[in-house]
Amino acid sequence: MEKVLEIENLNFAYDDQPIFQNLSLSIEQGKFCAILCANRSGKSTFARILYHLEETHDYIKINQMFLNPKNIFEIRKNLGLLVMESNANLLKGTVEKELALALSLSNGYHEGDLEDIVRILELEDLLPRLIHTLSDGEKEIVFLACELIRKRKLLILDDALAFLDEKRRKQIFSFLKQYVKEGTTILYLTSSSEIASEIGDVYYLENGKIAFHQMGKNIFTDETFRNQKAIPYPFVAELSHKLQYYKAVSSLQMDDKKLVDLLWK
Amino acid sequence: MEVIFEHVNYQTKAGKEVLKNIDYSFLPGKIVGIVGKSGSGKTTLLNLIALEILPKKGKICLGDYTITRVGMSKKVQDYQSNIGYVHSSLANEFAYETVMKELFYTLEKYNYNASKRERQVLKSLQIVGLNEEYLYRDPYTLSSGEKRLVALAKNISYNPKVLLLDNPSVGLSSDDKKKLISLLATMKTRYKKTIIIATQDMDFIHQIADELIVLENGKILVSGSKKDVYDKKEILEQANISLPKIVTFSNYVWKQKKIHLNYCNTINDLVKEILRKMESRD
Repeated sequence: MEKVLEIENLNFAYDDQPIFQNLSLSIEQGKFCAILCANRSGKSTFARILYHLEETHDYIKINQMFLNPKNIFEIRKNLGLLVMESNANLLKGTVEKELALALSLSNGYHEGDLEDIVRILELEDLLPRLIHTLSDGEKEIVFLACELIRKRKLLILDDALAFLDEKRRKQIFSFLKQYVKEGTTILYLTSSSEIASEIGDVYYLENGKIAFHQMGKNIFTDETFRNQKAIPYPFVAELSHKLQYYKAVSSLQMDDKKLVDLLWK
Repeated sequence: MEVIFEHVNYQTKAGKEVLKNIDYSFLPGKIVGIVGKSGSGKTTLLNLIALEILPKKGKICLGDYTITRVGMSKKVQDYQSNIGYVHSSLANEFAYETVMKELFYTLEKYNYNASKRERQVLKSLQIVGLNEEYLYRDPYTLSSGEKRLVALAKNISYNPKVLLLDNPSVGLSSDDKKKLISLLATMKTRYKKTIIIATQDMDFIHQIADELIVLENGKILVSGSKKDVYDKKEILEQANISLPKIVTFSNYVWKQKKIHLNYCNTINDLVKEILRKMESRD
């Protein structure tokens, strides 16, 4: 598989405060994964570096191109970034116009794509609305729709669905898992293990480097994660973790059915 | 200070009805959570109390102040010193280049006792758990969690009687969330503030709210104590709201094993409750 992101030994510091130390990461095309790290440990800085808003001379390749000032405009055609508080108040057009603009800039539009995305993300009612009058959660979905229509190779979401409720977020995640099969890679940066476990393919970042990469049920069994205190487990795992202390269960559980069966046989 | 909504309607300029016939009394010393899916009118309700917009019909009463379609008869600035409002988007929250100035000028704006301003700036930061190193930081260089704490410090610094928080848990680490929860508990019990929180984070609001309001399309679908609201499963389904995970888990245990777990606010209480029920069964 083609690599969309390759980072080797990235070092970065603000003044004398180190953020990343020898961070290496490589991600293939067509993945939907989470980068999980504690608050204040460089989540947004990571996004800013990849979008070249922070300068670095270390080895970073996006879509087989080196990240440098010469390539950045070419790279950005296939690189999307959504942040948590994008200042949407500057946009005065309607949702429909914004989507049409995204469509005209799209890298590979197929007949019906727009209709599909509007239907799946439930945007029908919002189409005639002005963007700056939408609620925060609605703005997040509209911007996500625009990025999805543009069909970029790499899309970075810096906690960009933080204002959505759990149900809506899960719906969107299950759609994104299908969407990436067409070749886009989506990186979701978060400090919530709940969100990371919903995505299910997790890179855990600690002390300025990727500490482990796990998928599915094994996500939080890694020792580095168990030894940290900054990020709590997702609910069921946290509950079983606490019950473990009282010897009510003997191992970490990710699934509520299994936990209940273990507690009351 | 009691906040009373009487038949309040709100319409946008484009004619969209965002809030319909809202009737509710928010009492001092209580935390009320407003939940509902995105676009249901949560933020609009807070904006009305903060006088950022005016109702189309009905009135909102806060102590001696009354807000109606035409505005308010009394001095607006006096009114605003009673309200602390932390918006959900902090993109336009700060105007000055240091946290110190941000808080100091807020106190000045609300005519806080001049000799005590400097002390109050420090005290407010300490209350939200930030040390004095933050005084000289530029608010926009802070992480999103830190920004939220600074915004909170700023909005409690002048001792408003009503505290409006829009999505306060977004971007906070679990430690910060715990701090925020205990801070809000103090604000509620010791200072008897009227606290209204709009949120989509059910696990967060479950831990602190006394009452919940469920909004859907600008209407109150159901309101009351947490337990009353959780019992209305069909209505929650309609409003697209998932129950807090603690409640879902207890319901699941009842369904599978017919074991009734008492109502818990925190995960630690739930652990104790489970251990208690396991012992009594043995």
